[in-house]
Amino acid sequence: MPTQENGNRLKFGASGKILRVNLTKASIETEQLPESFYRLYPGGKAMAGYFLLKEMQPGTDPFSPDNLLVLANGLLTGSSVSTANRYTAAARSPLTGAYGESEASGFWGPELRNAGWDAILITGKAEKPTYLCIRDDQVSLRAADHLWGRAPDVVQTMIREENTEKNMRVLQIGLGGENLVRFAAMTNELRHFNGRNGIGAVMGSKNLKAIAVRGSRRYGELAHDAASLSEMGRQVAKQAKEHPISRDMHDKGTPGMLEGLNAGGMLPTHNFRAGAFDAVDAIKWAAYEKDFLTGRGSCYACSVRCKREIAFNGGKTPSAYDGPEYESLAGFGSNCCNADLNTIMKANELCNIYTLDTISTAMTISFAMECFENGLISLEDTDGIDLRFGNAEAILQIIEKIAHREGIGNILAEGSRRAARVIGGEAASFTIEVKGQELSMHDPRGKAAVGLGFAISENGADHLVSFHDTTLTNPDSLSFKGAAPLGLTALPTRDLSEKKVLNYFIGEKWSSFEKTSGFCYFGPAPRSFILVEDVPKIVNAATGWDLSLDDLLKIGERAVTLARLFNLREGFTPQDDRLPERVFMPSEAGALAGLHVEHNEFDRALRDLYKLKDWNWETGIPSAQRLSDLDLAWASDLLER
Amino acid sequence: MRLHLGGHLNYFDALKRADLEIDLAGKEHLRDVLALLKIPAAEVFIISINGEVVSLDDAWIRPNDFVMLYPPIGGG
Repeated sequence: MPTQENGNRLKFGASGKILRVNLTKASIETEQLPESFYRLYPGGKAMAGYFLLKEMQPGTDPFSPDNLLVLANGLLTGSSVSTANRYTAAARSPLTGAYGESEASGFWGPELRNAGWDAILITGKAEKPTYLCIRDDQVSLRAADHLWGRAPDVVQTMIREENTEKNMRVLQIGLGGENLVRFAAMTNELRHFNGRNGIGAVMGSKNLKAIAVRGSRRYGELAHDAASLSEMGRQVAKQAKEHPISRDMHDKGTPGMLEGLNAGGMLPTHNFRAGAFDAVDAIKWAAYEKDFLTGRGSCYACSVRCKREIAFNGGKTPSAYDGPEYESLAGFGSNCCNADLNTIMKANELCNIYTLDTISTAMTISFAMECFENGLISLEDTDGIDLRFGNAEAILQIIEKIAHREGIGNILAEGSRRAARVIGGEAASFTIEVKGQELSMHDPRGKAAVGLGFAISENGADHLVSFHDTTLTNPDSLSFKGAAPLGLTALPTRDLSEKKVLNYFIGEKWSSFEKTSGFCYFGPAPRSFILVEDVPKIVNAATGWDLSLDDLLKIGERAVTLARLFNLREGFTPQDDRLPERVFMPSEAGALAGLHVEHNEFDRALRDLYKLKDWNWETGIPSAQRLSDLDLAWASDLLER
Repeated sequence: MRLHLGGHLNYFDALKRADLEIDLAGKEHLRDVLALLKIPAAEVFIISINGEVVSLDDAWIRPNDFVMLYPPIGGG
């Protein structure tokens, strides 16, 4: 049983305290939540889903002051366990109109925990640009007129100086968020991003420039068994330094994935027409390391240290921002047929400065390139920019236009789905998106279950909602063995059988639990080094709850279901769970040339997944029994209303 | 033959080499090369011989071949 603290409070890994900020009223309130709440909604995704469903009115415009912005730490965030340092940013997404969510690592979440807060709930709209300043229990709203329009590195320095606190952790938006670009991101410490779903634009719509935090507490004060948790933290750190997968993540980071995916025919190229890029040697890890890498950075208490520090001009000009991850490398590289690595680095840096999601930015540009080459956009429309595939300089020019909402950039800032409606003609057939969010750099023709996830994910195409097929092909591999206790089956990557659907469903619950507990995708197996059987031990040391693996999966499923219910209430239906037509067309190059996703097979797999989830195939609504089993019977009342 | 060990495969090589050259007397199966280098076959996900992707069973190698190997590649 959880231990007593000061005779009346239980230690279960969280403070139980959240902040409620109403920017219209300039009010700040605190709320104490009971331990029983955390057993159902321990943090991160689960907590965000609960508040969005429970407290928002259906039909709330994403840019309305009534949109609820939730920033919720994962349950373990702030602990000394490597890779457990993430927080969730959630709101109704201006890009999709659906449940919007994006996780980030870095240092901001742990600092919020050290200040004594598990989450911040923000409503309303400030009359003028504002930032929220948190120093332990001292919380205040400050004027940010002098920060508005400035770049993140300048803003971070100014906030630290005016608070005479050099270690203040700053979460903020750049110009993209201020200008309500529908795929604007948020950044903390300049190097860590809540990238997807346009949550940065929600922050901008509230005139909220930044949230600066400094805390003096430590997670050990909250843990049920701080000594055991600390020992497990040491073991995990040791594993991170010895395991081949985490060592490789340290050495090459996600950019190291690019050449292998290219060899396997799964590297999105030419706006997802092909799976291999002729000029891959120019943009792969060896070139990145040789010409740009200067160091490897970290997130809070993480021994993997997978972040890339870079410099331009042969090392003479260091960047204040990190170098591109795999997604940005492929997005601005192969998918735009661009072999100029320097431009990819610049495009990534521009997106970081303007806080634009690099995935949606790159995919919206590749969409525009296809429109241009097919005569739907002219030189007149682009103010003279030659927007052909492979034109590296054009990519930089269009990013500037998107961030400033100038000319065609004002149309593209709406995201590819809305832009296609404005451009007209066959433009919609060039969009590669689900629910309005553009696909990340993974090809469903080669990763069948990732395609299933793109289709069904509550927040539009998202590659982090389940396991990647490539990690579960061989029962003797490190990846598979690390996750085997979850009950998985080793299957080929393009398989979409019932067993693969079950793998997907297990992975969806597991990934959702990771987002609820604060684990990075690069922590637990199968993606990385932490054995899944060790995760409940870590959680139980923090909470004292005696949870099993099945209990963790149930928490994960509950969080996914909350988001699904949010979408159902907003009018989403099973017809929204689809894939873009392009992936049903043959890949044009690479090891998978000629292969495509089969309509009938995909529809059958989706139907199998609905059955596993106990969702009605016609309406998409979970059964009353399933909701009851997930302790969500209360939520069915919201749907009926 | 020239051999490229992608991803984390080079951590199994005693010298942690990502690129190496191996003298082959004649046609040999990749399983024997992997055994020589102590690389677990279960960690090899993609095999490319002179640009063509093949299965492990079909991975016969000749002295002048260029072989690229990659482990299971996750997302992120």
